[in-house]
Amino acid sequence: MKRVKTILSGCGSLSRAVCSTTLICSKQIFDGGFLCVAGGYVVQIVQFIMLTFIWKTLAETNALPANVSLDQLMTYTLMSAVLHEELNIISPATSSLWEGSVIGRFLRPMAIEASFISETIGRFWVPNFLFLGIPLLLFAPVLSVSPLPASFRMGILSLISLLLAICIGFAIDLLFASLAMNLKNGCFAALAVREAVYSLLSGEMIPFSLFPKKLGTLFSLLPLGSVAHGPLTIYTGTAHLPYRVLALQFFWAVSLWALAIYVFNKSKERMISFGG
Amino acid sequence: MVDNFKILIRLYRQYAKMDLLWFLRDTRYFFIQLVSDVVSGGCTIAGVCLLSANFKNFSGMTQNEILFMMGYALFIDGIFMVFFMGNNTGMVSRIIGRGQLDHIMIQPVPLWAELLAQGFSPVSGSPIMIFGTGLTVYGAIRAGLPINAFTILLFLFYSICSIVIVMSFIYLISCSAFYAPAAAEEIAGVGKELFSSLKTYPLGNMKGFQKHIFLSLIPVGLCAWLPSTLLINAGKYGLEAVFVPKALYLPIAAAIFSFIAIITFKKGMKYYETYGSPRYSGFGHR
Repeated sequence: MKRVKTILSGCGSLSRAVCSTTLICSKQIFDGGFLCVAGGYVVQIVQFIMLTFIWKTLAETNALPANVSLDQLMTYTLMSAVLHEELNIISPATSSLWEGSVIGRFLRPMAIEASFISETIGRFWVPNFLFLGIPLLLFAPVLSVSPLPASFRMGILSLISLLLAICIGFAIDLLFASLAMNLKNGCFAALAVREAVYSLLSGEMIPFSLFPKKLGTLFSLLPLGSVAHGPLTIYTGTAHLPYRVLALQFFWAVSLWALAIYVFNKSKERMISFGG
Repeated sequence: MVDNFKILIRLYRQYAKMDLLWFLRDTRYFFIQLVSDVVSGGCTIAGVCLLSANFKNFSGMTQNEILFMMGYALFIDGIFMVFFMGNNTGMVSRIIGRGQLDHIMIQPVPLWAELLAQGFSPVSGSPIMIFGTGLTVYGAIRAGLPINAFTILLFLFYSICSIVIVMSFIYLISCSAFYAPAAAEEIAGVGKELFSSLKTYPLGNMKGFQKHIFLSLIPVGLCAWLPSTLLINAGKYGLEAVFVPKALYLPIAAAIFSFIAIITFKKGMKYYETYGSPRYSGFGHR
């Protein structure tokens, strides 16, 4: 009993605290709301199927740009759906502020940032991979979509790129949470803006290679471009200079985390939560 | 029936007044909401618009026609925001799942009248509608479509059909909250998300079977692509493009969807009248 209590409270060990929080949160999906979660997965699957049909139609009419093949495009769209939660990180930072449950996180024996990260992994990543990622990876060959990376080397590089993208994602998430704190009861506005900006500027839904060239290059240099566009182009082999993409991601990860820690600490002092 | 409509108009007036008072009381929040709506709307349409900029003919539409379609899609979002945003009317599964139907049923007005009126937010919901109207007019001018009484009326008619389909679909899936209140409390959001994220894609070059799926079972194509195509044809070829079987598909689909939604909702209401909501019981959720 004593051991269980230690694990659950996470006393004395950050990794234990993270693991136990992740585990508890991953079980929350079965708490009764699975119907809505499953509905969300259906929307993502339909979106994936719709995009693959559109890309196929474009390829049939020879409308695709010369530097992008249909196979690469399909793999890009597949992996963006499979890694949706990792590429579009939304931690409970903003929603807990709205609900008023943020105060409970400050009482936990771990840093609040670590609490948000472990909750995100448990609540979103694990169920998403189990109930959306794996079925999509298995179903993809039926739609003639290859889930494999362009090469083994690109696979390894994209893994490193994904880790950096996740770092950037969490930093941006903390920045948006800080914005929500400053907006007081405008949390929903912060979430809506963030969702819309993410879908366009991260390249998660539509690859930048299909946009006008100059605009695509500009978007890929922005911090959000490093979140989805970076790892996915490396994975599909469409990144001409993968090491430069990694260097850019590293730069954004370091600078955004420094900024996020500073802004979040400042914003915490102004935090007011009314509860939902 | 006439009395009920009079009540509906009075209710609309009251909700409009309350929405205006909210705006006057909390202008800062209104402007935050305004900026958020404009950024969200802009980003939603920008993706497909930028995609179309790279192709001469994207899925059977020119870039200007795509712009017009995006305007139509935003206008539909605008109608949703103005008429169904308030008091969770557009997210009716929350009302059902949380047992808040009781709050509506005890009022001395018919359920349908209260549900229609309580979402009315003409001030706070207006930014997207204004944005959508502006973009539609701009897209129509760029695409060379005539703007006259006939095309405006046709546009409004198709818009009503599209929003009826959106709301029917949302209400249809929300009926599951009668039977599983906790599990399906947020399911309306899934329906809304389906339309928000998918209706902006043109389906022109898609093959028969796939296209039919998106025009029937998952009716995302009926909320922007099909009506826009019909309106573009009507603008180009006049009346002869309107009185064809294809043009009747949208109103018929709207009628069928609303009929199924009403029947299912009534069934759900019977279940609700028998078993009530578990929310307020000793072991209720939340």
